[in-house]
Amino acid sequence: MAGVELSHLSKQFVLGRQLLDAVQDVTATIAHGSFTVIVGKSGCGKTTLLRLLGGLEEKTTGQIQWTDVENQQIRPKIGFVFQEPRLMPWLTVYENTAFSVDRFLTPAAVESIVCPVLQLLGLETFRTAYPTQLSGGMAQRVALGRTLCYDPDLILMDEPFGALDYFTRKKMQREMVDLFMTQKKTLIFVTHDVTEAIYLGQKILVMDAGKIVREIPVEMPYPRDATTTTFLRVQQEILEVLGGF
Amino acid sequence: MNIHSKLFKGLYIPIIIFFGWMAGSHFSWWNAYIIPPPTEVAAAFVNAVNDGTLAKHLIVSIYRVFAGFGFALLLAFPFAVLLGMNKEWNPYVHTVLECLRHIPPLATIPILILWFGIGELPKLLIVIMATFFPIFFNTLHGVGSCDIKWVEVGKSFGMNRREIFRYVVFPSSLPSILVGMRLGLGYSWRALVGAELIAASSGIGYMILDAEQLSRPDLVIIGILTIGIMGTLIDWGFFMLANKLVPWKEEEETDYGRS
Repeated sequence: MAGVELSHLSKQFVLGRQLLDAVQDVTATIAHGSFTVIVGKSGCGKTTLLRLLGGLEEKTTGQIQWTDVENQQIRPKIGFVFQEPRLMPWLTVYENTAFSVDRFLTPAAVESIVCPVLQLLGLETFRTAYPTQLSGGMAQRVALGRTLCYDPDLILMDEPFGALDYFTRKKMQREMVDLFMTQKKTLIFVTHDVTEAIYLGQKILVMDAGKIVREIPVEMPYPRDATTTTFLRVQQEILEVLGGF
Repeated sequence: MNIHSKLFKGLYIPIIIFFGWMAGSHFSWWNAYIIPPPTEVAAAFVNAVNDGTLAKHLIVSIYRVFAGFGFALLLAFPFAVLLGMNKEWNPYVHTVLECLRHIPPLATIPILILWFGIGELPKLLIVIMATFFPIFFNTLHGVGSCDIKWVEVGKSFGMNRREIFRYVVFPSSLPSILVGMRLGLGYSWRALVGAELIAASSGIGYMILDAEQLSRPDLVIIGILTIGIMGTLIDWGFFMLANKLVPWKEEEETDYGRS
């Protein structure tokens, strides 16, 4: 497990002759073993923030400090689940799931890691299938499984269910909650779907124009019911902050 | 479409041509010296097989093709990988490569003979020149067009550059590399026979030239058909091998690649 302290984190992109402030002066704390959701409109900088955390972008200014349970600084193992499954088309489901670990381990050791994950995600029957033969939900499950096999301290997820249909998305959200309860990992999840954010997050960071404009702790037990008054109140708050309604 | 019906359809035109050839010879539509009748060609074929001429020349040519192909692969593959992984080097070599690839290998024969005589080396060099560019450009294309999204997946799992090449870039460009190798094999066969027609004392090209000088059009036809059939067989063998190596690709229409 790992936590993270962000202080005055900024990221600028150069677009032609213009400077674009994708992330501006973000300061936040994410606790060990928590489930944090970053929510905002398209282009608000939430994906950039996540990519900064994942080391896929270089920060312009500011600090990212990772800490372990005793508050010691560490370099954590980070797993990233992308918006698209990004499976390797030349590998089967089994090989894709093993992709993150099979260069270190013997085939037997790989199998002992991959098999439980395939089982957990209901993928055993597809183990010899190639990605082109999978549905969107299945493919995203393989991508998640690949990250779980890596056994990271924290998992960063960038709208992983964005391209899925309503029913599959609901199912995956339920599975996500179950995973969080059983795996005890720090999860940071980016979405533009306000309901999804409240359904999943213990803490919701609302982003707008590169800044975190509100932190909302959600103290409701899982699984959450979207018809309760607390749920609706949080939803109302987020929508007001984002100025949509 | 299943493979048997495809093969069967592919045989229609050769069969029609063959019967036309038989009929034309039978009814003397043309001079038997210019186009010898199938019976004569068949007899010459049996003869060439029995006395070992055909096998001897064929083996020499195949050896040259594969040796040249092997060297070209050893040169082109690492070179293309280096350039594909270090795009900033591209401007330095682009002009030279672009210019070189337009030169038909056969155009260099006179200078090769001047430098290296008429031994095996010039023929090997011709094959290498013919094979280098298709392998090089297709590998470069494959390595260069590897989706950055897959590379990021590798990075996110802590892979270093070498591992990203080994586990992401190489497998993703394998189909392109194989297309290049297949093309190169075809090109090398063509260029080699050309070289053998000009300066050689063995090989299928030489056999054809020799037959011309002995006024044996039947042998010339055997030589031509042998080249066509061998080329097809090698290509088919390579295609089967490639399909084994890239099982994730559905069987596609022929990809003629880049050269």
